[in-house]
Amino acid sequence: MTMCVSKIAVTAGFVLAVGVGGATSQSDTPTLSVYTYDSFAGDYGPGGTVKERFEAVCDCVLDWVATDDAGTLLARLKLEGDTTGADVVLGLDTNLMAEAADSGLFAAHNIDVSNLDLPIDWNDDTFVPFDWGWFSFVYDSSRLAEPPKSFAELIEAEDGPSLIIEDPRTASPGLGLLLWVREVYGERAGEVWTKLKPRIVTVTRGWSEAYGLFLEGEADMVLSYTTSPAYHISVEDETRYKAAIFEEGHAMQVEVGGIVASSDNRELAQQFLEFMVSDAFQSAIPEGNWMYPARLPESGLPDAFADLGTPPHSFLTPPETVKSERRKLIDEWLSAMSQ
Amino acid sequence: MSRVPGIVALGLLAAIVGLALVGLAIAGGSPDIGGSWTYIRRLIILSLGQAALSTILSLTLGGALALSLARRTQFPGRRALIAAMNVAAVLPAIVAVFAIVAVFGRAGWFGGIAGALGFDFGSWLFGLSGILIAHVFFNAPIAARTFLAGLNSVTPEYWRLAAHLGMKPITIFRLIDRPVLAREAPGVAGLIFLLCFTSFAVVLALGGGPDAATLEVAIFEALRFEAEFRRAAILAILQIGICVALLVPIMALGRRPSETAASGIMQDRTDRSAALWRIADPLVLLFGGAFIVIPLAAIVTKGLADAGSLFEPRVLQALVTSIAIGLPAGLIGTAMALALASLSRHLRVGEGRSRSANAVGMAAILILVVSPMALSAGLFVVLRPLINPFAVAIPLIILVNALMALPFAYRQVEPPLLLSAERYGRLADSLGITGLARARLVDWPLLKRPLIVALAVATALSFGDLGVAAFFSSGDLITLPVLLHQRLGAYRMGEAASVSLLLSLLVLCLFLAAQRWSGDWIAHAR
Repeated sequence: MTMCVSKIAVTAGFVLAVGVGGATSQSDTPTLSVYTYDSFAGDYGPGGTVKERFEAVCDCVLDWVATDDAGTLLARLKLEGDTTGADVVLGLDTNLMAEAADSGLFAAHNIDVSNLDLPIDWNDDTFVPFDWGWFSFVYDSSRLAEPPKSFAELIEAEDGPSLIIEDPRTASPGLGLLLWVREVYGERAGEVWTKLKPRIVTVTRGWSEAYGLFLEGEADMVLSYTTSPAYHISVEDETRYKAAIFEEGHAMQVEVGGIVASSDNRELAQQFLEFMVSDAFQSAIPEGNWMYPARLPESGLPDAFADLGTPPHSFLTPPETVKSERRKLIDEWLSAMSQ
Repeated sequence: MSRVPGIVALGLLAAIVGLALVGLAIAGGSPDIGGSWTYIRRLIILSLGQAALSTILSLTLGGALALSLARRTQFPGRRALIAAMNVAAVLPAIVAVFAIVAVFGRAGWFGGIAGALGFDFGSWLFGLSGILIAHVFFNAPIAARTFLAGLNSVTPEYWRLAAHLGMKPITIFRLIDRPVLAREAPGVAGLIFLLCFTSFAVVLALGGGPDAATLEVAIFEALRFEAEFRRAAILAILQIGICVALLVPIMALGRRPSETAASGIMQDRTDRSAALWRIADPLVLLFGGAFIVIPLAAIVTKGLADAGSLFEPRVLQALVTSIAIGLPAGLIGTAMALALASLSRHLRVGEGRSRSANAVGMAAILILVVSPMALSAGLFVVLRPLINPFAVAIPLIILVNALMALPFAYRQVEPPLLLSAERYGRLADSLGITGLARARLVDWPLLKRPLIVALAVATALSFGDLGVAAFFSSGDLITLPVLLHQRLGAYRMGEAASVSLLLSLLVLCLFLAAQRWSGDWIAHAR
């Protein structure tokens, strides 16, 4: 028992020492600390490639600091305030942008964003988009032969497809759906939810649970992105998953990066932001993050993205509107769903 | 054992929770409860209802399983069944959700069988039924474990008496078994109730709609979507307050019938051959056991499909990290549980202050009510001016994991510790045995096996725990649950299933090792 305890103590001490040692950076080359979310920086995201390519041109060390998701990202940033160690924040989306801007922690980016490849115009001074996507309902074409072609069709069909969606209180696609319905139906959103409710199988905490349950076959459609099928086509050689395109148009999610005003490495941060919209970064996005790149890479999009379907219209609710309307939209949704 | 370790442990608990709440409160944000009190009130009422129902069902199934296991001590697969039950109790929520859906869902095994027979039950799983199934899956094993330990430590004198008097099986249940269940029920009911009341991912995934949420959702929303830290603090305190208010009457229900000192002469149960039990027990074990084991089997089948993805260096790294964090956390948690249990015992038996003893018991499990996210965020605020949070990530995660495992370890070690004092306390006093000798001679025999189980449970829980690292990790600390979530978030569902399998196997090995080390603790109360 004592041997066991001392062995454990040594291991724990070792682990602690390594942790502390790892936390101290090299003193010669500057370190750029980029806060992002876990799936971007982790092994399965574009983080590794981006780090490699940036370090090749910047003569610095790129240090990813990852949190669970974008929400925690903003929360941690606000907790740290202007003593934060972050130089750049990458991975907030437009729904969090207004709060992020209000925190006063970000500086102007001074980058020309007039020629990005987004379906909408971008004119924010503080944040620069690095990828985007359209929300859509994804289905299995071998089970659902005739998907709805419009939101109206989805809502009116009483024996239509069953749905799994995410909770707008805890997941960004969930909130995205609320904003989408608001854009298309305005004040009649309550009716939409009442009609959809019987066909909603469950409302999950996050995208993973929803998508996983859909893949298991628990519902006909799941709220995800038009780019989700690209993963299956590219990695699994599986073409049966498709995104339903609605004729009213789709809501977008745009993910952004910004420079932290209190950073000690403003020049390096600026360089990173310019790198972020350059080919070296953008070409890692499609098959790294499974989203559309903010600027089309020179080699174009991968084959898997060829048949994804393009909505006729794109909606992006302005960040200030999201901030002011969010509570009301969620309360409306909650009361409609509790009937 | 002296009171000091217990008081230190209590102080540490209170300090950490208090600091976290203070941290949240000063972190800023508006304190007003955004939506409305009606919304919050509704969440609370629904959570209470669901938690109460889950607790009753878990106690019922757990009790039935415990009784059957106590009577049937030798059947093939008994050890495996008990190990499986222990695994079920410590699985990460998302693993269990997918397993349950794989079995009971529309597209799952039962759905497939029903479909072949011509029935279509639709998505019946998603709603209150799904929540109850998942909660009972997690908690019936906990109840069963506690009840079984109690049943196995019945004084042999009682069995001798039962044999002499030729007691009927029903009478045996009424006079011997039922009082044991009644004695242990309040403590374990309190724990299960808290777990169900604060349950988060399970309720949201299987609940079928936003109605089925708990107060945790509101706290999550406040912390991660709105960065409204004061609101999170208020909701967290509200949650603690409600749980304390509910636990006090539950804990007070614990009646402790007086214990006879055992003579040490072994006598076995006398009702094994009763016709009633010979029919009922196999049925209970079959159906109850199947309820627990079949979802675990689903984890195996789903996980084997992509098992190749386990042979990557990052999986080994995650495994090692999980163990490096889990083992110390398990040890610390169990040590603290022991300290608190002896403090509680001292208050109850030594000083006759049973309300204070109840309070210590409540403090031991109350940490479950403090949302790990709130804890993490609050501590982050408080520690940040003093030290770089990333540098203390590992020790902090170990410490908080230990605290989260503490309630479970406590419920394992408190009953035997108390029992040994009630049974042998006066004898030991009259013989003048005190201090270390007392711990060794009087407490250790009854304590040994539950302590090893407690250590296994605490460690297993720490392997799977996830929520704490949120604010402290810089993303470098890859444990098995983190790897699981990374794969899930990257469309790699099959690979995630294989990580679930690995995690389950790891925990299974842990429990089997614990069983072997402690000897078969089920068969005879020796």
